[in-house]
Amino acid sequence: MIEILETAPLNTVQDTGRFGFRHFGVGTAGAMDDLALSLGNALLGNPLDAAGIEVQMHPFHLRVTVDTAIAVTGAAEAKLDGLLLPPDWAVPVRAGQVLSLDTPPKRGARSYVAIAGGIDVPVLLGSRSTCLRNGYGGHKGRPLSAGDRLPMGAATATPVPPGGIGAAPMESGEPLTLRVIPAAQHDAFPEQVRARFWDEGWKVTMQSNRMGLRLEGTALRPEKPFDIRSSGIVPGVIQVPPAGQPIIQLRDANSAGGYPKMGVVIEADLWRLGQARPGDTLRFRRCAQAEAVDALRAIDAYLADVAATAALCRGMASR
Amino acid sequence: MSLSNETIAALAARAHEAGLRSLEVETKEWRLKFVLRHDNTPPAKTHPVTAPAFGRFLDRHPAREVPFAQPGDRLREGAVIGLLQVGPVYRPVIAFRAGTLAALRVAPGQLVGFGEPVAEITALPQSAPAKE
Repeated sequence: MIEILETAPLNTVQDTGRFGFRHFGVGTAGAMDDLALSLGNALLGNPLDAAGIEVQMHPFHLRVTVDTAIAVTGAAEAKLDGLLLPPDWAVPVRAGQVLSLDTPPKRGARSYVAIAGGIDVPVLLGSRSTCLRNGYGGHKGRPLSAGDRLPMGAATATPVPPGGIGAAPMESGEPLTLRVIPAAQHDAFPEQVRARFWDEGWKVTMQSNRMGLRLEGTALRPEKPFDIRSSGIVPGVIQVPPAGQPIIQLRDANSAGGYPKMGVVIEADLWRLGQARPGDTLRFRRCAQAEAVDALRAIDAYLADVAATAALCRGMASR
Repeated sequence: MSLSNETIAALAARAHEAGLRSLEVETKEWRLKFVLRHDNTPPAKTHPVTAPAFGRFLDRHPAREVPFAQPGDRLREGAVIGLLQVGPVYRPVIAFRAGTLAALRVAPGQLVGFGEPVAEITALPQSAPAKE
């Protein structure tokens, strides 16, 4: 079991998302930085989509009741019984040890705690992710609170050696430059408005959460109002409401929406949005579908490389 | 269970510091006996920290500005001194005992073989608190 000793609001159980039910209006939910969650799973030898805890508010303290291993990835500095862990690190833990994420990270917004065997909350529609907006999935459909006890799945991988192992960061270029494919209404905006979308920086506002990022910049206004019907949207879609300040829809977004769509952030860059915080400035770079597919393959290759090398290191240490 | 060389060295050093003349440790499988000589020459002050694996040594994590430890820093037992990188994975070089980091023996970026000395730790007096 994992015992939650203390937690700020809005920390949840998430896996990499709930897919295949969008046509019923069921959004993906899932880790905002799915790359970080999968990285923790790769170090531990879990399936890459095993459920972990998304920590977006601090403090967060947990204790394990059995000897196991945990990984902390993403933004925060974590301590195990007071000893600072390096970033993106997996380490063995003994029953009774306390993991603490006390202070908001200096960079980035979210951290992920993965555990050997994954968090074994019930699977709902193919996923263990919490959908906060509608209150289902994860642990009782709600954010974690002090006193919660989370079941752990059976760990089958070779244990993490004493001292732990870590992952080297993926080469990721400018973290806040996002590759975007133009969407349905892009060409209907006036040319100088489109140019501003691509050329100017967009500030992330405080009105940002797991549903979406609201951005602030020079307003993007069409020549005349759009008259369009609601249609399906996916995480990453950049909508432009009538006021002209874009919204990027994210993991807990509606599955459909009626605002004009300027573009969509490619799937391989969604994790960057999970680490964007209010005050950060985002930039958009135009990208073709082939580049988007290549970028996803690069992430898959990186995770596979980490998983294979970590398995080798765990195996060598256990002999 | 078996004892690592580091553990044996640490046991010997602690027995020496405590002023013991001999120390025996015995289990069902093995017996270990230290015979310690105390003379007037000061005991070896530093303890080598050896590489737990082959890899490229890093004194800091690329996501952090500051090195894990610099000479003169006090280290808790279990503190990370540096990393050994193999492909996309890091393994830690760990302070096997509390002490002061006396020196790093390898430069950042240098390839290190298994068992090679990476750092030197000076034992702390028993009462001195160690930072992380």
